[in-house]
Amino acid sequence: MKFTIAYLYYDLLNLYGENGNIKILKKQLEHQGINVSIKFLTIDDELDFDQYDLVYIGAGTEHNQKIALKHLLKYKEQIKEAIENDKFFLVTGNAIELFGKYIYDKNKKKHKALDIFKFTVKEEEFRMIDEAIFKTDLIDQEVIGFQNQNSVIKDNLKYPLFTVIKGIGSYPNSTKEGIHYRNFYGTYLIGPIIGRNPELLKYFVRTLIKSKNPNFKFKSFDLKLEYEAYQHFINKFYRDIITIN
Amino acid sequence: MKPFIVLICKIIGFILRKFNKGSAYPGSLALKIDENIFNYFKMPKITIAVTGTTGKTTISNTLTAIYKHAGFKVANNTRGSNLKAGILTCLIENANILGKIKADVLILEIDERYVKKVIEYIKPNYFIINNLSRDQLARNGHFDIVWEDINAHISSDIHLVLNADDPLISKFSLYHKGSVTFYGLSKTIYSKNEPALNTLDLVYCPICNKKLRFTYYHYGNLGNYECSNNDFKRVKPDYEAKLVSDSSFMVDIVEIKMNSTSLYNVYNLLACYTVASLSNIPKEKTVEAINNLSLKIKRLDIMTVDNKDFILLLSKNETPISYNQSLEYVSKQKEPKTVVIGFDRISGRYNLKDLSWLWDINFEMLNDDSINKIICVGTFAHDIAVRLKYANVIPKKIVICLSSDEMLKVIKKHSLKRIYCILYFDVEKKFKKMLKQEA
Repeated sequence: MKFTIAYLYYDLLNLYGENGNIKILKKQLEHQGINVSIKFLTIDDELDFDQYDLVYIGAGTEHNQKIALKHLLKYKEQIKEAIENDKFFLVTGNAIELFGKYIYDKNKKKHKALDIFKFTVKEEEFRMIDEAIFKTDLIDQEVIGFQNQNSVIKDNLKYPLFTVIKGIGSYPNSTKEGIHYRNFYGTYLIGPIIGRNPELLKYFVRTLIKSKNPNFKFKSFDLKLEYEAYQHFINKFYRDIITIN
Repeated sequence: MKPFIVLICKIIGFILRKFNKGSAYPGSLALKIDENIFNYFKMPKITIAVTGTTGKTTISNTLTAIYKHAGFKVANNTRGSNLKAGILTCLIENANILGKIKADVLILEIDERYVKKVIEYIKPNYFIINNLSRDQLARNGHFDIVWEDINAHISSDIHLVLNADDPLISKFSLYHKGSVTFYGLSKTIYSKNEPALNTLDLVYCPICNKKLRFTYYHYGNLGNYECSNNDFKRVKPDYEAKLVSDSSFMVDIVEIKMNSTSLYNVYNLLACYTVASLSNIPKEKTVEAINNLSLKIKRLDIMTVDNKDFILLLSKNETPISYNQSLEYVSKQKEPKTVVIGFDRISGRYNLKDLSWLWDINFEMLNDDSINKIICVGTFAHDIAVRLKYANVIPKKIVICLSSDEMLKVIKKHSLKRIYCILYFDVEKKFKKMLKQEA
C-alpha cells in the first residue's frame, strides 16, 4: 500500500514542533509496511487534493496564517469536495481557523476563510496559553496537550471533537473543542497531539489504513515508550492540572 | 520623596548584597512605592542597551571589559536580573540620591519581553538587537509578538545596532527612522546550503511575502538572504567579520580572538566591537580588551571521574536554536561516546509543561554510529525518549533513568570514555553533585 501525506505550509505554519505529527505518522505507517511519501507544499506550489491520502496543516503566527489562507482560498471548492468525499484532514493549532467562515484579526479586519464550517474566529488582545486535558468518544484514554493561541471560536460547534475537562478549549471556560466531521479532524491542541497520546495515534493510524483496505492485517503497534510517557505525565501532573484555579 | 525612595532602596540593596543576595528586591520595592520612579534617573553620556534571544550577558560583559580598559567607569546589570525590577535595581545601586548615574558608561541587558517596559526610560544611545528566534513559547507566544513589542517602543532618537544576518533583526531597520548600523559575518567554510533546523522563523519577505532565497546559512535562519522582488535582503554590514580560524575573526583590519569556537560567539564579540567603534574607542583598546578577556564565557566544562570524561553542555530548554547547537557540537565530535540528556523542570520561570519545543530541535543529529547509548534523565525522560525514537535513534540505544542511583548504575555499566551531558540547570546541579561524590 502507498500513502501520500501533504504537509501544507511546512515553512509558514511551523510553530510549536507541530512537524512532529508528520514524523510520527510516517514512522507508524511504515511500521505497518506502508510506503509513505510526504509532499512538502507551500504558497508557491499548486495543490491537487486528489493526489493526497491525508492533508496536514499545523500552527503558525497570525501573520503567516493569513499568507497561507490567501493561497488556500484558491482551492476552496476542491477542499469542500475532498472533505465531503471523506478525504483525511488533520489540522492542529490555529490552522483550524482556516476552515471557518471568517477570521477577525486584532485590528478588527475581517478575513474571509474557507467557509466549510460555520464558525467565526476572533483574535483577542491577549494570548491564551495553558495545559489541556480533553475527552473524546473516539478513544477511552483522555487526551493531553497544550494550547497557545491568540484567538477564540465562540460559536456553538456543530461537530466538536473534544469535551474540555481542563484547558482553554475553543475559548476560556468553553466545554467543547475541535471539529470531527467525516474524516476531518481539527483541534487547537498542540503537543504534538498524536505524539503525546498513543491511543489517539493508534486510532488515527488504524482509521487511515482501514479507509484504504478494510481487511488490512495490522501488525501490533510498538508504542511502549509513548504509553510510558503518557502514563508518567498523568501520574505526576494530572491532579495538579485538574485542580489549578 | 524620590531621593528618599532611592536612598532607602540603596540601603536595602547594600544589606542584601552583604548577605550575598543579589536580588531585584530594591527595584520592585521602589516601583511599589512610586510607579514613576524610573523617570527619575539621569543616564550617563554613553548608555547601551542589549537584547536578543541569546548572547545578552556575553555582550554586556564584553562591553564592560572594553570600556573599562579604555579608562571609563562602567555600571551594568550583568550580576542581577534583566527584567524591569532588576534593571531598576541596577539604576538605584549606581545612582546618587538625585538619580544621577555615577558612571561614564551604563550597559544594560534587557530581557526581550521587557524592552517595552523599560526602553523609554533608559533612552539608550545604542541599542544592540543581537538575534530573535523561537524561545520560551509558553511565555512568549511566538517571535512575531516579541518583535512587535520591541518595534513599537524604539523611538527614532535611538541608534540601532543590528545583526544583518538575522532577517528578523534586519526587519527592524525597515521601520526605524533613526540611525542604524549593521554587523554581520561573511560566508565561512562552515556555511551550509540547507538549514540545520527544519523549522525556521522568518523565511518570507516582510514586505511582499515572497519566499526569501538563502545563498547560505550560518545556523538557524541566519545567513545571506534576499527576496526575489528585491524588496528585502541582507544588507552589506557596516562591520563585517571574516572567520580566520576556529578561534579568531577579522573585522576592519584587526584580528579578534574568541575563547569559544561557536559561530554565535562571533556575533557577540562583533556587536561589541561595533558599538565600541561607534563610540570612538580606539581599535587597539577594543581588541586588547576582547583578547585579554578573562570573562567567564562558557568554555567546555569537563569533570573526570573513574577515568571517564563528563563534558557538561548546559542547555536551555525551549530555545531550539541554542539547544540545537549543543547537539551539533556533540555530533561533530567523532570519537565513540555516550550522551546524557535531561531536565526536571521545563522552565525556571513558570510551571507550564509544554513539550512541543522538543520537536523543533533536530535530535536527528544524535542518530549516529559513534554514540553507543543515549541516557534520558529527569522528570521528562520518557518524553525525550519518544522524541529520540522518532529521530530514528535505534531503540536499544535509548535508556530511561528516573533516579540518580539508577543513572549512576547505567553510566557505570554502559558509558564509554567520553560522555556528553546535555542538561538543564536543575539536572546539571544534581549531576555535578553526584559526580563529586563519586570522585
